[in-house]
Amino acid sequence: MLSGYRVLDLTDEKGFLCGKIFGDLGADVIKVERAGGDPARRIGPFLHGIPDRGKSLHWFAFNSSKRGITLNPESLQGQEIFRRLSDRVDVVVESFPPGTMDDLGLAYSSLSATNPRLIMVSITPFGQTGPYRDRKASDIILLAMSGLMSITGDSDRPPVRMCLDQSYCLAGAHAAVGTLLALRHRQISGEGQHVDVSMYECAVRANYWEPSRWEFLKTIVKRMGNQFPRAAAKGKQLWHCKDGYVTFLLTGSTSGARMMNALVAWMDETGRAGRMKDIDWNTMHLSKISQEELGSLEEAIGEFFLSFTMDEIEEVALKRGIPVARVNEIDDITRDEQLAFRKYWDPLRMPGTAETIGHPAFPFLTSVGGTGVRSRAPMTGEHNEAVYGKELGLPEETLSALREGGVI
Amino acid sequence: MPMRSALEGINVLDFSWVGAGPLATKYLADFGAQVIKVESTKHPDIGRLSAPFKDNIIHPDRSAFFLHSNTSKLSITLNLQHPKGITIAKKLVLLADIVMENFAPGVIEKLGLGYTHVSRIKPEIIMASSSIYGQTGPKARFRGFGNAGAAISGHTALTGWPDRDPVSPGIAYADVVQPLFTVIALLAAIDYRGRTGKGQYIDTTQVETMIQFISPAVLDYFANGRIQTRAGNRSSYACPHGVFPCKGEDRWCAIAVFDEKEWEGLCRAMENPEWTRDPRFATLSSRKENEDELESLINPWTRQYEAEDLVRTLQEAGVPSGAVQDGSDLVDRDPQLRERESFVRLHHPVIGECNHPVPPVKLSKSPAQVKTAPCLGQHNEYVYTELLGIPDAEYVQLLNEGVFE
Repeated sequence: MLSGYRVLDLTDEKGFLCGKIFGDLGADVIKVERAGGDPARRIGPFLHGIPDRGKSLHWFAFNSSKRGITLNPESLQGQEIFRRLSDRVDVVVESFPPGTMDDLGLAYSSLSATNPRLIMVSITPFGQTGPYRDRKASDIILLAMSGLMSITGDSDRPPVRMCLDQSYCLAGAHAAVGTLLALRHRQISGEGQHVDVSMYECAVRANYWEPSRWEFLKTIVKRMGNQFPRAAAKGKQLWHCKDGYVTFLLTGSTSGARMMNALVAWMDETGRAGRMKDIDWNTMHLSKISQEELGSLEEAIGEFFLSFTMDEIEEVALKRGIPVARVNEIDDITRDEQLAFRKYWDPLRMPGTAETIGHPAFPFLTSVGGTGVRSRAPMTGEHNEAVYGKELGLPEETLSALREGGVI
Repeated sequence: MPMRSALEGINVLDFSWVGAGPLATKYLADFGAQVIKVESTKHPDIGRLSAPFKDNIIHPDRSAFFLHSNTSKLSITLNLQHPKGITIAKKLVLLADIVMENFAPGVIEKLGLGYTHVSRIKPEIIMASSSIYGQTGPKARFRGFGNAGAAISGHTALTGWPDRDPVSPGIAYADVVQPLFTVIALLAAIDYRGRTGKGQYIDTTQVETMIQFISPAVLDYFANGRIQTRAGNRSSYACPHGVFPCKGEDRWCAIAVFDEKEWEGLCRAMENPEWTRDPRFATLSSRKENEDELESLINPWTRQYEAEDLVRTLQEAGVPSGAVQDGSDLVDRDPQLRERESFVRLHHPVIGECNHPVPPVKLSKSPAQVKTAPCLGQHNEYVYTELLGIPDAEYVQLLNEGVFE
């Protein structure tokens, strides 16, 4: 869909996903690493479980669909080469601490002087401005500050973060949105612009309920494990079943009546509906029920789920329209029938090996096609020859000198 | 040049409701697209009936939850069960660049407004359908709620403590992630249409978009057969890494040390106690091997300080750190959010003046211009009589027939 666009990607792990999305959409994305290889290649897990800079699965996952070159922008030569590249691309995306690109003489104001159509996208923990601009932060710091951790986890344990590095992915996806908006503006105005993404604000935006809960109700929700906060009683969300867990939330009133009736009918087939059969779910307002009453209903449902496997529950849920979802482990998702139907797993050959492994494909289907993982992640400097030699026309002697000088 | 909207001139016909759909069209609206939200008085968006409400009065125009997800949009009420309602919907399609919906798969087709229908009316239309699992396939009928996306995609199983049951994220996280990809798809489609004249149909799912955010764990399974498990607050490439108790009730500071420079900074901040010189804590890998003990040695130190004081000390020493905050901190105290204007105070006709969330992406020349959320059917006259040009007499006639319910 976006073939014809060119992106120069200088991000570290905080911003990888932005360039990957563009690559998956068909743009030519050039990942720029330091001459010795990106420090982010130290992040595991690793192919075969052995830490090796060339085998980081984290790096492979987020840098597929990109080509790779090396460049150290600290030297004047490096900066000059960078300019030659940025003059030929539509987008530069970076995640250096604020001020770094300025110090290198590569600020947006400078780069856009020779390429007024350039869109520069900066992804940083707190954005380019503000009292926290220069604070050091990583994913857990940002999730802690965003309020998301205070609402996640068991009440008798510390606040817990969502798995892996969610704020980096949120920021990368937001940066892709910002870049596309800037490209649209450029179509109308002919000009590029600077896109400033604050990872912190992306995480705060993800915490979509708490700010308004405080503003209007002056209440603070505290983490409560797998319970769901309601006006009166807290509802149970996670349920044990024979071989794992499912999620389900008892919902009454008109919105929940149909599915509660379906659940009760299923329970009744083996005589286990008990007094739930006599409840008129249309008028049962769960936001007003007492914890004790809700607890006894949940106990009956809990015992019922415990006698079935995830597969069994899923089959009935699909058939009868009961909104119970399986809590999948990683291997479960790779076996999911629906994902297989949608051809969600692309076999990709891993860099430096002959192995092919499954890789998540692009996350939407489109009727015109032209999206998808187009290539595996690059090896360090894999496309130096193609980009510097062929596209920039630098002769081999120059490239050797640059290599020796540590510039590429 | 005056500030222009990035999406000026783009018209969106928005049938979506609840969480993931509206959060996608909110981005489009905030950046200047004209988003016409199609609602109905008989079946209002569940978002309109979600707390918190202004003054605790349950009313479709008083929901702050709805406001936060629907800024900058227009609202019309249209009875899609009435054949004339469908006719009008089709007239609105002719005005639109984008049609967005998130009904259960099959519903929009039955209404006669699916992609096959709308693309016949307007071949260059861009339509997006978002669902949990997809429009077609063995599980397309799956009905879910809030955290189904997180559960099915593997996120929930990976969240929480190794010795406990998994926990759902504190929010319906798929409702945050999916909209981002829906917007990306729509914006790319607009760009593509600008170059080729072609529209398209886009099908996004909660499950597939959520898996993108845990892809390293997926590759770990495919490559190594390893099923990643819950890690609490720990990280494979940082140590210490977690939240540490501070002075007061349930107050915590997040600390993350990625390299030896940051470790030295942390030791300096702690005034270099003897135990930090133990060779067991000398490198990242040795610290990871002794992480339980390391954490138990740091806890008594952090407990002496207020979270914000601790953060200041650690930041001065170059250590990534930040306090665990809650909603009141974000709204009342956070100086960074205030400076960045992450919430803008606007006037809503029924709720009054309140915070409106601003997109976390700042564009230097075409910034977001957030407007308040619409009341139910607030723009009926504007859309029907002005945009569609329905003459007043006919408008009243249709109104009486219940077409605009």
